[in-house]
Amino acid sequence: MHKDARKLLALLNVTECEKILVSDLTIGKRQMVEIAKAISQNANLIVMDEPTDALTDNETASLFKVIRGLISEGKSIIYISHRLKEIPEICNDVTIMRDGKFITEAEVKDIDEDFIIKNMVGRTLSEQFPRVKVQLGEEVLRVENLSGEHVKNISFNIRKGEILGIAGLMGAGRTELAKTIYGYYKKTAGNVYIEGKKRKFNSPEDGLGVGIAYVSEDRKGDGLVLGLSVKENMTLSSLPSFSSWFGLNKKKEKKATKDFVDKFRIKTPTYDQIIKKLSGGNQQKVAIAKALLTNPKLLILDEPTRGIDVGAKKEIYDVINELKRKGMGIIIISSEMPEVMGLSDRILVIHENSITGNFPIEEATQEKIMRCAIGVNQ
Amino acid sequence: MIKKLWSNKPLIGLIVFAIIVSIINPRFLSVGNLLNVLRQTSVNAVIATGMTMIILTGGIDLSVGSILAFTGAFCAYMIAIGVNPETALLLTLIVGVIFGTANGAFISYCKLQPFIVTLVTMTLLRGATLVFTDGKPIPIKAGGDFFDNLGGGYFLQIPIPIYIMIILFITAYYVLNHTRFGRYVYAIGGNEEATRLSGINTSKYKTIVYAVGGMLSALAGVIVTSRLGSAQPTAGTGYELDAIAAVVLGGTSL
Repeated sequence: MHKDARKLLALLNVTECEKILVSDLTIGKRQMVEIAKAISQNANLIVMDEPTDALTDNETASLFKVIRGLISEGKSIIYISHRLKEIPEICNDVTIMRDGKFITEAEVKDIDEDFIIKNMVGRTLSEQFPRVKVQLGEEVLRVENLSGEHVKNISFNIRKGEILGIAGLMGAGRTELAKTIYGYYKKTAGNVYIEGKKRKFNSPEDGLGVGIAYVSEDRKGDGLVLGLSVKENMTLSSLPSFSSWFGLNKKKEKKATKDFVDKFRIKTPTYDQIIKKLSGGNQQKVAIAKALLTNPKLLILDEPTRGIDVGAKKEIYDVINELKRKGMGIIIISSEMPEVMGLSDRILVIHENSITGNFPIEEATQEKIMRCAIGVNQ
Repeated sequence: MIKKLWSNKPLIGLIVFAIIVSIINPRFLSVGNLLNVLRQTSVNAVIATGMTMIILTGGIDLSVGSILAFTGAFCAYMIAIGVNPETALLLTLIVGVIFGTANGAFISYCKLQPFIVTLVTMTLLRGATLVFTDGKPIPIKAGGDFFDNLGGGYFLQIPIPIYIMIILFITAYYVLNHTRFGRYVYAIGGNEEATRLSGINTSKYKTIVYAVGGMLSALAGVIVTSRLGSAQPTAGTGYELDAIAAVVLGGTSL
């Protein structure tokens, strides 16, 4: 058994010992184990649902090698992905679905990316990132020499109507920085100023209290309570505003839920639907609505479009731009370079828990950002 | 409705069991007997109400039986040394809250396993009760009407503990389904990290849940003591399992 496992893992370029606990592996490696499990069953048809979502480029390459091997053995693969770049690389035919309906199918060699996007969203994406220009307002947040368990000496500021992108490699400390500012991780040194006033807070509760809202990168892990309903998740952070001494005002709660379901076009049969059953995009919209219901001055979005389809992405970009127009300060953490470049007014680059780059968007190039992200001095 | 009923297997089992028993002995279905069964259940029901909330947060409380015994003895002692029964009742509930809070604080703030923490409390308080009572029952001599009726009295021919149980059930239902606190209880049980990241002080609410559990165990202790007319050092032995079973049979999953 161990030998077989060893062989399969080697096929996927996983070098860890087969006896190690899956929980001790990185997310990418766990994904590889799952793929190995599917292959081990010797099936003729393998369905892969977003297999590369958590994989690095290297891991993706070895996965593709395995897929090509399987195909040459006469096996078939259904490959579900929202990463359009992968499709011409690995697929022969493509089927496009939208809102649970079949839209079209085609041979990959006959089509291009625009065709896929057009059919996925039902209209042509004239511009995926329509940049909104707003007059920047007063300072919302200023961080001075902030240090904590996971961050070192961070200083930056953000103004009303500004979108600050945070770029960096996975594990560079972007999420940790966001969570440290929010109060989830302890701040050991440095100061945080909200609207010019120095504030001390060391819990998410107090973070919300001073006007910061954080939308997690990990919806299933710490973003949502999957067993609760759409409504219960959406109002979780803002329940005090729906309750009095006599308990919850369920009418008011329902109305607030309805407002956001309509505004964000969240697809759910009822407000009492268990959120686990919603698609990733709709879950994400609920998570953002949850944050917005607290009326934050500063919104931190951690990987806001991870694992959601192109149509929902576009809708979330629209929401972000709308908030920007209203003068909210927004921090966006994203691993997708086009997203950071397309939305932000300014980009911070994090490498090994410190800031290695801070560019206005006019000066930022992918190459510059990448150099800072991997810690190469300019 | 029928479908919902059908999905509740334990309830069906109970109905079938009741039918069989009443065929064997028709007196089972008499009002007197059923009231007696309900009165005996009421002590467990009071404890189980607190246990439901604790289990909903993903925890467990093994110390309920020992808290019952200790607080029962404490209450009997207070009355024996001449404290008036109403004050004694209040002080006893406070003692229950203190034990529950201690459980909750160790679990939430020291991040210890609920099973271990409450197991320690269980053993500790059982021993403390034996030392405190010297292993002998403490009789209630000057309970007065108010105290004696709590466990043994009737109102409209229905035992008082049944009223206490029903009032508690309604209150717990309201708290769990119509208040912020209840929502947080479910959220913590569903995903504690997500709840904390949503800006909720989960440690505080978990501690409150255990404090309520402790208070209800103390209330059960008072009812038992009042009903028996004395505090038994071994009262409540094994009650934690009865309460947990009641919670699970009631549809809350462990």
